[in-house]
Amino acid sequence: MARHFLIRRIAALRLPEEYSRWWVRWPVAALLILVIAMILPRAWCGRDATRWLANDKSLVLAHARTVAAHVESGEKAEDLVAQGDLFKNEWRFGTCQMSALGLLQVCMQQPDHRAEFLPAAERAIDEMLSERMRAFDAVRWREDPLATLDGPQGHAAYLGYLNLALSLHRLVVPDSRFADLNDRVSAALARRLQASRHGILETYPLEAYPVDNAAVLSSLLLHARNTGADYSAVAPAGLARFSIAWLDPRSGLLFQSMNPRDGKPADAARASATALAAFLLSYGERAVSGALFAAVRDRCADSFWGFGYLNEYHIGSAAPGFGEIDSGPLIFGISPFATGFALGGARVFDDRRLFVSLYRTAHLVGTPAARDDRRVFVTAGPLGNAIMLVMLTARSEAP
Amino acid sequence: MRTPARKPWRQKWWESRLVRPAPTLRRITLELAAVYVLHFFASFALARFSVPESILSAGPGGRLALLGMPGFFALRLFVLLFAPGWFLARIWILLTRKRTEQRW
Repeated sequence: MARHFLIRRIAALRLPEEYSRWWVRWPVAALLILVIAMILPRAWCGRDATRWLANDKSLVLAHARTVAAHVESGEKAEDLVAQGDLFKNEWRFGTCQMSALGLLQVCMQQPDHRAEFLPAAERAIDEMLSERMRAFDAVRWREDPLATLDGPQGHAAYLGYLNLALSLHRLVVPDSRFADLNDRVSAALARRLQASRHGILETYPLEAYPVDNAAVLSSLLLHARNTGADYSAVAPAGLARFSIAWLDPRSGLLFQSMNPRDGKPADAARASATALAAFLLSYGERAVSGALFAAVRDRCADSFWGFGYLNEYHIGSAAPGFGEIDSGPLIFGISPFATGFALGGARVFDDRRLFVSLYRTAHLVGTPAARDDRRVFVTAGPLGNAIMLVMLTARSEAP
Repeated sequence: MRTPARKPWRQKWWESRLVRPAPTLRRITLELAAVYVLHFFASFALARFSVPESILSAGPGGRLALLGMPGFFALRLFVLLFAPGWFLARIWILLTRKRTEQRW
Protein backbone atom coordinates (compact mmCIF):
# COMPACT_ATOMS: atom_id res chain seq x y z
CA MET A 1 0.00 0.00 0.00
CA ALA A 2 2.73 2.38 1.03
CA ARG A 3 4.71 1.36 -2.07
CA HIS A 4 1.87 2.21 -4.41
CA PHE A 5 1.42 5.52 -2.64
CA LEU A 6 5.12 6.33 -3.14
CA ILE A 7 4.98 5.43 -6.84
CA ARG A 8 1.92 7.63 -7.30
CA ARG A 9 3.69 10.50 -5.57
CA ILE A 10 6.75 10.12 -7.82
CA ALA A 11 4.54 9.86 -10.90
CA ALA A 12 2.80 13.05 -9.85
CA LEU A 13 6.12 14.93 -9.94
CA ARG A 14 5.92 17.33 -12.83
CA LEU A 15 8.86 19.36 -14.02
CA PRO A 16 8.08 22.45 -16.08
CA GLU A 17 7.68 21.83 -19.80
CA GLU A 18 10.83 23.88 -20.61
CA TYR A 19 13.03 21.16 -19.13
CA SER A 20 11.79 18.71 -21.74
CA ARG A 21 13.58 20.49 -24.57
CA TRP A 22 16.33 18.26 -25.95
CA TRP A 23 19.05 20.90 -25.52
CA VAL A 24 18.24 21.10 -21.81
CA ARG A 25 17.54 17.42 -21.11
CA TRP A 26 20.61 15.79 -22.61
CA PRO A 27 23.33 18.30 -21.62
CA VAL A 28 22.03 18.32 -18.05
CA ALA A 29 22.08 14.49 -18.01
CA ALA A 30 25.69 14.46 -19.27
CA LEU A 31 26.64 17.13 -16.75
CA LEU A 32 25.06 15.12 -13.94
CA ILE A 33 27.15 12.06 -14.85
CA LEU A 34 30.34 14.12 -15.12
CA VAL A 35 29.92 16.14 -11.94
CA ILE A 36 28.94 13.15 -9.83
CA ALA A 37 31.87 11.15 -11.27
CA MET A 38 34.21 13.96 -10.24
CA ILE A 39 32.88 14.34 -6.69
CA LEU A 40 31.32 11.18 -5.33
CA PRO A 41 33.95 8.49 -6.18
CA ARG A 42 36.87 10.44 -4.73
CA ALA A 43 34.95 10.91 -1.48
CA TRP A 44 33.83 7.27 -1.41
CA CYS A 45 37.23 5.75 -2.28
CA GLY A 46 39.16 8.06 0.04
CA ARG A 47 36.97 7.67 3.10
CA ASP A 48 39.32 5.12 4.74
CA ALA A 49 42.51 7.04 3.93
CA THR A 50 42.30 9.39 6.89
CA ARG A 51 41.46 6.44 9.14
CA TRP A 52 44.65 4.67 8.02
CA LEU A 53 46.62 7.87 8.64
CA ALA A 54 45.15 8.04 12.14
CA ASN A 55 46.11 4.37 12.77
CA ASP A 56 42.46 3.41 13.14
CA LYS A 57 42.55 0.31 15.30
CA SER A 58 39.68 -1.55 13.65
CA LEU A 59 41.14 -1.11 10.16
CA VAL A 60 44.69 -2.03 11.12
CA LEU A 61 43.73 -5.09 13.15
CA ALA A 62 41.29 -6.39 10.53
CA HIS A 63 43.88 -6.20 7.76
CA ALA A 64 46.64 -7.60 9.99
CA ARG A 65 44.41 -10.58 10.83
CA THR A 66 44.08 -11.40 7.14
CA VAL A 67 47.85 -11.34 6.66
CA ALA A 68 48.48 -13.29 9.89
CA ALA A 69 45.93 -15.93 8.88
CA HIS A 70 47.69 -16.40 5.58
CA VAL A 71 51.05 -16.79 7.31
CA GLU A 72 49.62 -19.25 9.81
CA SER A 73 47.98 -21.31 7.09
CA GLY A 74 51.36 -21.72 5.36
CA GLU A 75 52.10 -20.60 1.82
CA LYS A 76 50.96 -23.07 -0.76
CA ALA A 77 52.63 -23.13 -4.17
CA GLU A 78 49.29 -22.71 -5.92
CA ASP A 79 48.58 -19.53 -3.94
CA LEU A 80 51.14 -17.71 -6.02
CA VAL A 81 50.84 -17.75 -9.74
CA ALA A 82 54.06 -16.00 -10.78
CA GLN A 83 55.47 -17.50 -13.95
CA GLY A 84 58.60 -19.60 -13.59
CA ASP A 85 60.21 -21.08 -10.50
CA LEU A 86 62.51 -18.14 -9.85
CA PHE A 87 59.73 -15.56 -9.74
CA LYS A 88 57.38 -17.91 -7.90
CA ASN A 89 59.93 -18.50 -5.15
CA GLU A 90 60.92 -14.84 -5.05
CA TRP A 91 57.25 -13.99 -4.52
CA ARG A 92 56.91 -16.56 -1.75
CA PHE A 93 59.94 -15.04 -0.07
CA GLY A 94 58.57 -11.53 -0.66
CA THR A 95 55.20 -12.48 0.82
CA CYS A 96 56.84 -13.77 4.01
CA GLN A 97 59.17 -10.78 4.24
CA MET A 98 56.41 -8.21 3.77
CA SER A 99 54.14 -10.14 6.16
CA ALA A 100 56.86 -10.10 8.82
CA LEU A 101 57.52 -6.37 8.39
CA GLY A 102 53.82 -5.52 8.39
CA LEU A 103 52.97 -7.60 11.44
CA LEU A 104 55.98 -6.26 13.36
CA GLN A 105 54.87 -2.71 12.54
CA VAL A 106 51.41 -3.57 13.86
CA CYS A 107 53.03 -4.93 17.06
CA MET A 108 54.74 -1.57 17.55
CA GLN A 109 51.68 0.47 16.62
CA GLN A 110 49.18 -1.57 18.65
CA PRO A 111 51.13 -2.90 21.66
CA ASP A 112 47.93 -4.34 23.19
CA HIS A 113 47.72 -6.82 20.32
CA ARG A 114 51.37 -7.81 20.27
CA ALA A 115 50.57 -11.27 21.61
CA GLU A 116 48.16 -11.81 18.73
CA PHE A 117 50.51 -10.85 15.88
CA LEU A 118 54.06 -11.51 17.10
CA PRO A 119 53.80 -15.31 16.69
CA ALA A 120 52.65 -14.89 13.08
CA ALA A 121 55.52 -12.46 12.40
CA GLU A 122 57.99 -14.98 13.84
CA ARG A 123 56.41 -17.75 11.81
CA ALA A 124 56.97 -15.66 8.67
CA ILE A 125 60.63 -15.17 9.61
CA ASP A 126 61.02 -18.89 10.30
CA GLU A 127 59.57 -19.54 6.87
CA MET A 128 62.08 -17.13 5.30
CA LEU A 129 64.86 -19.10 6.97
CA SER A 130 63.58 -22.46 5.75
CA GLU A 131 65.55 -24.43 3.21
CA ARG A 132 62.77 -24.32 0.61
CA MET A 133 62.66 -20.53 0.83
CA ARG A 134 66.44 -20.20 0.51
CA ALA A 135 66.36 -22.35 -2.60
CA PHE A 136 65.55 -19.54 -5.07
CA ASP A 137 68.76 -17.78 -4.11
CA ALA A 138 70.84 -20.94 -3.66
CA VAL A 139 69.98 -22.21 -7.15
CA ARG A 140 71.24 -19.04 -8.83
CA TRP A 141 74.39 -18.76 -6.71
CA ARG A 142 75.03 -22.49 -6.45
CA GLU A 143 75.61 -22.02 -2.73
CA ASP A 144 73.39 -21.65 0.30
CA PRO A 145 73.18 -17.99 1.43
CA LEU A 146 73.18 -18.79 5.16
CA ALA A 147 75.78 -21.58 5.05
CA THR A 148 78.27 -19.32 3.27
CA LEU A 149 78.14 -16.17 5.38
CA ASP A 150 81.95 -16.22 5.52
CA GLY A 151 82.14 -16.27 1.73
CA PRO A 152 82.50 -13.34 -0.68
CA GLN A 153 79.29 -13.58 -2.75
CA GLY A 154 76.63 -10.87 -2.49
CA HIS A 155 73.23 -12.58 -1.99
CA ALA A 156 71.93 -9.00 -1.65
CA ALA A 157 68.24 -9.77 -2.07
CA TYR A 158 67.91 -12.76 0.22
CA LEU A 159 70.23 -11.54 2.95
CA GLY A 160 69.23 -7.86 2.69
CA TYR A 161 65.48 -8.39 3.00
CA LEU A 162 65.93 -11.15 5.59
CA ASN A 163 68.22 -8.99 7.71
CA LEU A 164 65.79 -6.09 7.58
CA ALA A 165 63.09 -8.31 9.06
CA LEU A 166 65.54 -9.64 11.66
CA SER A 167 66.64 -6.12 12.66
CA LEU A 168 63.04 -4.93 12.94
CA HIS A 169 62.17 -8.00 15.02
CA ARG A 170 65.02 -7.13 17.35
CA LEU A 171 63.65 -3.62 17.70
CA VAL A 172 60.30 -5.08 18.80
CA VAL A 173 61.82 -7.89 20.89
CA PRO A 174 65.19 -6.79 22.30
CA ASP A 175 66.06 -10.35 23.40
CA SER A 176 65.09 -11.71 19.98
CA ARG A 177 65.75 -15.38 19.34
CA PHE A 178 67.10 -14.29 15.94
CA ALA A 179 69.70 -11.96 17.52
CA ASP A 180 72.69 -14.20 16.84
CA LEU A 181 71.74 -14.70 13.20
CA ASN A 182 71.04 -10.95 12.88
CA ASP A 183 74.59 -10.22 14.13
CA ARG A 184 76.20 -12.73 11.79
CA VAL A 185 74.27 -11.64 8.70
CA SER A 186 74.93 -7.96 9.46
CA ALA A 187 78.66 -8.62 9.86
CA ALA A 188 78.75 -10.55 6.59
CA LEU A 189 76.90 -7.83 4.67
CA ALA A 190 79.09 -5.05 6.08
CA ARG A 191 82.27 -6.98 5.24
CA ARG A 192 81.07 -7.68 1.69
CA LEU A 193 80.05 -4.05 1.13
CA GLN A 194 83.49 -2.91 2.25
CA ALA A 195 85.19 -5.40 -0.06
CA SER A 196 82.97 -4.54 -3.02
CA ARG A 197 84.79 -2.66 -5.75
CA HIS A 198 81.84 -0.43 -6.66
CA GLY A 199 80.08 -0.55 -3.32
CA ILE A 200 77.19 -2.63 -4.61
CA LEU A 201 76.32 -6.20 -3.65
CA GLU A 202 75.08 -8.53 -6.35
CA THR A 203 71.59 -9.99 -6.05
CA TYR A 204 72.45 -12.83 -8.41
CA PRO A 205 75.74 -13.42 -10.25
CA LEU A 206 76.44 -10.34 -12.40
CA GLU A 207 73.09 -8.75 -11.46
CA ALA A 208 73.05 -5.83 -9.03
CA TYR A 209 70.08 -3.70 -8.03
CA PRO A 210 70.28 -0.51 -5.93
CA VAL A 211 66.87 -1.27 -4.39
CA ASP A 212 68.15 -4.56 -2.91
CA ASN A 213 71.16 -2.71 -1.59
CA ALA A 214 68.75 -0.26 0.06
CA ALA A 215 67.42 -3.20 2.08
CA VAL A 216 71.01 -4.21 2.94
CA LEU A 217 71.99 -0.72 4.08
CA SER A 218 68.77 -0.10 5.95
CA SER A 219 69.10 -3.40 7.83
CA LEU A 220 72.62 -2.40 8.88
CA LEU A 221 71.49 1.03 10.10
CA LEU A 222 68.67 -0.55 12.08
CA HIS A 223 71.07 -3.16 13.47
CA ALA A 224 73.43 -0.37 14.52
CA ARG A 225 70.57 1.36 16.30
CA ASN A 226 69.62 -1.84 18.13
CA THR A 227 73.12 -2.94 19.13
CA GLY A 228 75.39 0.09 18.82
CA ALA A 229 77.44 -1.66 16.12
CA ASP A 230 79.76 0.62 14.17
CA TYR A 231 79.17 0.74 10.39
CA SER A 232 80.92 4.05 9.79
CA ALA A 233 83.18 2.32 7.25
CA VAL A 234 80.30 1.42 4.95
CA ALA A 235 77.12 3.36 5.83
CA PRO A 236 78.08 6.94 4.83
CA ALA A 237 79.63 5.75 1.55
CA GLY A 238 76.58 3.60 0.85
CA LEU A 239 74.19 6.48 1.47
CA ALA A 240 76.31 8.72 -0.75
CA ARG A 241 75.87 6.27 -3.61
CA PHE A 242 72.10 6.58 -3.28
CA SER A 243 72.53 10.35 -3.56
CA ILE A 244 75.04 10.49 -6.41
CA ALA A 245 76.37 7.39 -8.17
CA TRP A 246 73.13 5.43 -8.52
CA LEU A 247 71.00 8.46 -9.19
CA ASP A 248 70.01 9.70 -12.64
CA PRO A 249 70.92 13.42 -12.54
CA ARG A 250 68.18 14.28 -15.05
CA SER A 251 65.24 12.78 -13.17
CA GLY A 252 66.59 12.31 -9.64
CA LEU A 253 65.40 8.69 -9.75
CA LEU A 254 67.45 5.61 -8.97
CA PHE A 255 68.73 3.44 -11.77
CA GLN A 256 66.88 0.15 -11.78
CA SER A 257 70.06 -1.95 -12.05
CA MET A 258 73.80 -1.43 -12.16
CA ASN A 259 76.57 -3.38 -13.82
CA PRO A 260 78.55 -4.80 -10.88
CA ARG A 261 81.71 -5.09 -13.00
CA ASP A 262 82.09 -1.41 -13.94
CA GLY A 263 79.57 0.24 -11.58
CA LYS A 264 77.69 1.83 -14.48
CA PRO A 265 73.90 1.89 -14.99
CA ALA A 266 72.50 -1.20 -16.68
CA ASP A 267 68.87 -0.02 -16.87
CA ALA A 268 66.91 3.23 -16.90
CA ALA A 269 66.04 5.26 -13.81
CA ARG A 270 62.57 4.21 -12.72
CA ALA A 271 59.93 4.95 -10.14
CA SER A 272 59.33 1.39 -8.88
CA ALA A 273 62.93 1.02 -7.67
CA THR A 274 63.10 4.56 -6.30
CA ALA A 275 59.81 4.38 -4.40
CA LEU A 276 60.71 1.05 -2.78
CA ALA A 277 64.27 2.13 -2.00
CA ALA A 278 62.99 5.34 -0.39
CA PHE A 279 60.62 3.33 1.76
CA LEU A 280 63.21 0.67 2.74
CA LEU A 281 65.88 3.23 3.59
CA SER A 282 63.41 5.11 5.79
CA TYR A 283 63.74 2.33 8.38
CA GLY A 284 67.34 3.42 8.93
CA GLU A 285 67.56 7.11 8.10
CA ARG A 286 65.44 9.99 6.82
CA ALA A 287 67.65 12.36 4.81
CA VAL A 288 68.52 10.28 1.75
CA SER A 289 65.25 8.36 1.78
CA GLY A 290 63.37 11.67 2.03
CA ALA A 291 65.23 13.01 -1.01
CA LEU A 292 64.42 9.87 -3.00
CA PHE A 293 60.78 10.10 -2.00
CA ALA A 294 60.67 13.78 -2.97
CA ALA A 295 62.14 12.94 -6.38
CA VAL A 296 59.62 10.22 -7.05
CA ARG A 297 56.75 12.46 -5.88
CA ASP A 298 57.86 15.50 -7.87
CA ARG A 299 58.84 13.73 -11.08
CA CYS A 300 56.48 10.76 -11.34
CA ALA A 301 53.34 11.39 -9.28
CA ASP A 302 50.19 12.61 -10.96
CA SER A 303 46.47 12.35 -10.41
CA PHE A 304 43.18 12.31 -12.27
CA TRP A 305 39.94 13.39 -10.60
CA GLY A 306 41.68 12.98 -7.24
CA PHE A 307 43.00 9.45 -7.95
CA GLY A 308 46.78 9.49 -7.57
CA TYR A 309 49.29 7.30 -9.38
CA LEU A 310 52.97 7.07 -10.19
CA ASN A 311 54.39 6.89 -13.69
CA GLU A 312 57.17 4.33 -14.01
CA TYR A 313 59.33 6.83 -15.90
CA HIS A 314 59.56 10.51 -15.05
CA ILE A 315 56.93 12.75 -16.61
CA GLY A 316 58.01 13.84 -20.07
CA SER A 317 60.22 10.82 -20.77
CA ALA A 318 59.96 8.60 -23.84
CA ALA A 319 57.35 5.85 -24.40
CA PRO A 320 57.20 3.66 -21.28
CA GLY A 321 56.63 0.20 -22.80
CA PHE A 322 54.55 -2.51 -21.19
CA GLY A 323 56.39 -3.13 -17.91
CA GLU A 324 57.95 -6.20 -16.34
CA ILE A 325 58.24 -8.04 -13.01
CA ASP A 326 59.54 -5.02 -11.05
CA SER A 327 56.97 -2.50 -12.19
CA GLY A 328 53.96 -4.70 -12.97
CA PRO A 329 52.11 -4.15 -16.23
CA LEU A 330 52.20 -0.50 -17.31
CA ILE A 331 48.92 1.03 -18.46
CA PHE A 332 49.54 4.44 -20.03
CA GLY A 333 52.91 4.28 -18.23
CA ILE A 334 51.36 3.96 -14.76
CA SER A 335 53.25 1.59 -12.45
CA PRO A 336 51.11 -0.44 -10.00
CA PHE A 337 54.08 -1.37 -7.80
CA ALA A 338 55.52 2.15 -7.66
CA THR A 339 52.07 3.49 -6.78
CA GLY A 340 51.75 0.96 -3.94
CA PHE A 341 55.25 1.59 -2.57
CA ALA A 342 54.76 5.36 -2.66
CA LEU A 343 51.86 4.93 -0.20
CA GLY A 344 54.42 3.90 2.43
CA GLY A 345 56.69 6.82 1.60
CA ALA A 346 53.80 9.27 1.76
CA ARG A 347 52.92 7.98 5.24
CA VAL A 348 56.49 8.02 6.54
CA PHE A 349 57.18 11.51 5.22
CA ASP A 350 53.76 12.80 6.23
CA ASP A 351 52.57 13.80 2.78
CA ARG A 352 48.87 13.47 3.59
CA ARG A 353 47.63 14.81 0.29
CA LEU A 354 49.61 12.29 -1.76
CA PHE A 355 48.69 9.47 0.62
CA VAL A 356 44.97 10.17 0.31
CA SER A 357 45.09 10.43 -3.47
CA LEU A 358 47.12 7.20 -3.79
CA TYR A 359 44.83 5.44 -1.35
CA ARG A 360 41.82 6.32 -3.50
CA THR A 361 43.49 4.50 -6.38
CA ALA A 362 44.35 1.55 -4.15
CA HIS A 363 40.70 1.37 -3.12
CA LEU A 364 39.50 1.63 -6.71
CA VAL A 365 41.84 -1.07 -8.01
CA GLY A 366 42.28 -3.22 -4.91
CA THR A 367 38.58 -3.75 -4.17
CA PRO A 368 38.71 -3.86 -0.35
CA ALA A 369 36.13 -6.05 1.38
CA ALA A 370 35.42 -6.74 5.04
CA ARG A 371 34.11 -9.96 6.47
CA ASP A 372 33.77 -10.89 10.14
CA ASP A 373 36.81 -9.38 11.85
CA ARG A 374 38.98 -9.38 8.72
CA ARG A 375 39.59 -7.05 5.85
CA VAL A 376 41.18 -7.87 2.53
CA PHE A 377 42.03 -6.25 -0.80
CA VAL A 378 40.24 -8.74 -3.00
CA THR A 379 42.32 -8.31 -6.12
CA ALA A 380 45.70 -8.10 -4.38
CA GLY A 381 46.43 -11.73 -3.46
CA PRO A 382 48.69 -12.76 -0.54
CA LEU A 383 51.70 -10.73 -1.67
CA GLY A 384 49.63 -7.64 -2.46
CA ASN A 385 47.85 -7.77 0.88
CA ALA A 386 51.13 -8.15 2.76
CA ILE A 387 52.61 -5.17 0.87
CA MET A 388 49.50 -3.10 1.60
CA LEU A 389 49.76 -3.87 5.32
CA VAL A 390 53.39 -2.68 5.34
CA MET A 391 52.63 0.49 3.39
CA LEU A 392 49.46 1.40 5.25
CA THR A 393 51.11 1.01 8.66
CA ALA A 394 54.52 2.38 7.62
CA ARG A 395 56.51 4.35 10.14
CA SER A 396 60.09 5.49 10.18
CA GLU A 397 62.29 3.93 12.83
CA ALA A 398 65.03 6.44 12.16
CA PRO A 399 65.66 8.97 14.93
CA MET B 1 8.33 2.49 -60.48
CA ARG B 2 11.19 3.72 -58.27
CA THR B 3 12.01 1.61 -55.26
CA PRO B 4 11.88 3.61 -52.03
CA ALA B 5 15.32 4.67 -50.75
CA ARG B 6 16.61 2.50 -47.88
CA LYS B 7 16.82 4.25 -44.57
CA PRO B 8 20.30 4.62 -43.08
CA TRP B 9 20.92 2.49 -39.96
CA ARG B 10 21.13 5.53 -37.69
CA GLN B 11 17.67 6.63 -38.69
CA LYS B 12 16.31 3.10 -38.17
CA TRP B 13 17.92 2.93 -34.74
CA TRP B 14 16.53 6.32 -33.74
CA GLU B 15 13.02 5.41 -34.90
CA SER B 16 13.16 2.12 -33.01
CA ARG B 17 14.13 4.08 -29.90
CA LEU B 18 11.20 6.43 -30.33
CA VAL B 19 8.66 3.63 -30.48
CA ARG B 20 10.23 1.74 -27.57
CA PRO B 21 8.44 2.44 -24.27
CA ALA B 22 10.39 4.58 -21.83
CA PRO B 23 12.12 2.63 -19.04
CA THR B 24 10.20 2.61 -15.81
CA LEU B 25 11.59 3.66 -12.47
CA ARG B 26 11.58 0.02 -11.42
CA ARG B 27 13.59 -1.02 -14.48
CA ILE B 28 16.17 1.71 -13.95
CA THR B 29 16.61 0.62 -10.33
CA LEU B 30 16.80 -3.06 -11.25
CA GLU B 31 19.42 -2.40 -13.94
CA LEU B 32 21.55 -0.50 -11.44
CA ALA B 33 21.20 -3.33 -8.93
CA ALA B 34 22.15 -5.88 -11.61
CA VAL B 35 25.36 -4.01 -12.38
CA TYR B 36 26.31 -4.00 -8.69
CA VAL B 37 25.52 -7.72 -8.32
CA LEU B 38 27.60 -8.50 -11.42
CA HIS B 39 30.47 -6.50 -9.95
CA PHE B 40 30.22 -8.39 -6.66
CA PHE B 41 30.42 -11.81 -8.34
CA ALA B 42 33.18 -10.69 -10.71
CA SER B 43 35.37 -9.56 -7.80
CA PHE B 44 34.64 -12.83 -6.02
CA ALA B 45 35.76 -14.77 -9.11
CA LEU B 46 38.92 -12.67 -9.43
CA ALA B 47 39.90 -13.40 -5.85
CA ARG B 48 39.16 -17.11 -6.25
CA PHE B 49 41.29 -17.53 -9.37
CA SER B 50 44.09 -15.05 -8.41
CA VAL B 51 43.76 -13.31 -11.76
CA PRO B 52 45.50 -10.04 -10.79
CA GLU B 53 48.55 -11.92 -9.52
CA SER B 54 48.79 -13.73 -12.84
CA ILE B 55 48.90 -10.37 -14.54
CA LEU B 56 51.48 -8.86 -12.24
CA SER B 57 53.74 -11.86 -12.82
CA ALA B 58 54.02 -10.74 -16.46
CA GLY B 59 54.64 -14.21 -17.92
CA PRO B 60 52.76 -16.06 -20.67
CA GLY B 61 49.91 -16.95 -18.29
CA GLY B 62 49.85 -13.31 -17.23
CA ARG B 63 49.15 -12.23 -20.78
CA LEU B 64 46.25 -14.67 -20.91
CA ALA B 65 44.82 -13.27 -17.68
CA LEU B 66 45.41 -9.78 -19.01
CA LEU B 67 42.67 -10.42 -21.55
CA GLY B 68 40.11 -10.94 -18.77
CA MET B 69 41.10 -8.02 -16.56
CA PRO B 70 40.09 -5.03 -18.69
CA GLY B 71 36.51 -6.27 -18.51
CA PHE B 72 36.56 -6.32 -14.72
CA PHE B 73 38.24 -2.97 -14.37
CA ALA B 74 35.88 -1.42 -16.91
CA LEU B 75 33.00 -2.76 -14.82
CA ARG B 76 34.55 -1.52 -11.55
CA LEU B 77 35.32 1.89 -13.02
CA PHE B 78 31.74 2.11 -14.19
CA VAL B 79 30.32 0.94 -10.86
CA LEU B 80 32.42 3.32 -8.75
CA LEU B 81 32.82 6.29 -11.05
CA PHE B 82 29.82 6.51 -13.34
CA ALA B 83 26.97 4.34 -12.05
CA PRO B 84 25.61 6.84 -9.48
CA GLY B 85 25.60 9.64 -12.06
CA TRP B 86 24.18 7.32 -14.72
CA PHE B 87 21.34 6.39 -12.35
CA LEU B 88 20.51 10.01 -11.54
CA ALA B 89 20.81 11.03 -15.18
CA ARG B 90 18.30 8.36 -16.16
CA ILE B 91 15.91 9.58 -13.46
CA TRP B 92 16.34 13.10 -14.80
CA ILE B 93 15.62 11.92 -18.36
CA LEU B 94 12.55 10.14 -17.05
CA LEU B 95 11.29 13.19 -15.16
CA THR B 96 11.70 15.46 -18.17
CA ARG B 97 9.88 13.28 -20.69
CA LYS B 98 6.89 14.72 -22.47
CA ARG B 99 3.76 13.79 -20.51
CA THR B 100 2.56 11.43 -23.25
CA GLU B 101 5.78 9.40 -23.08
CA GLN B 102 5.80 9.07 -19.32
CA ARG B 103 5.33 5.59 -17.92
CA TRP B 104 5.91 4.52 -14.33
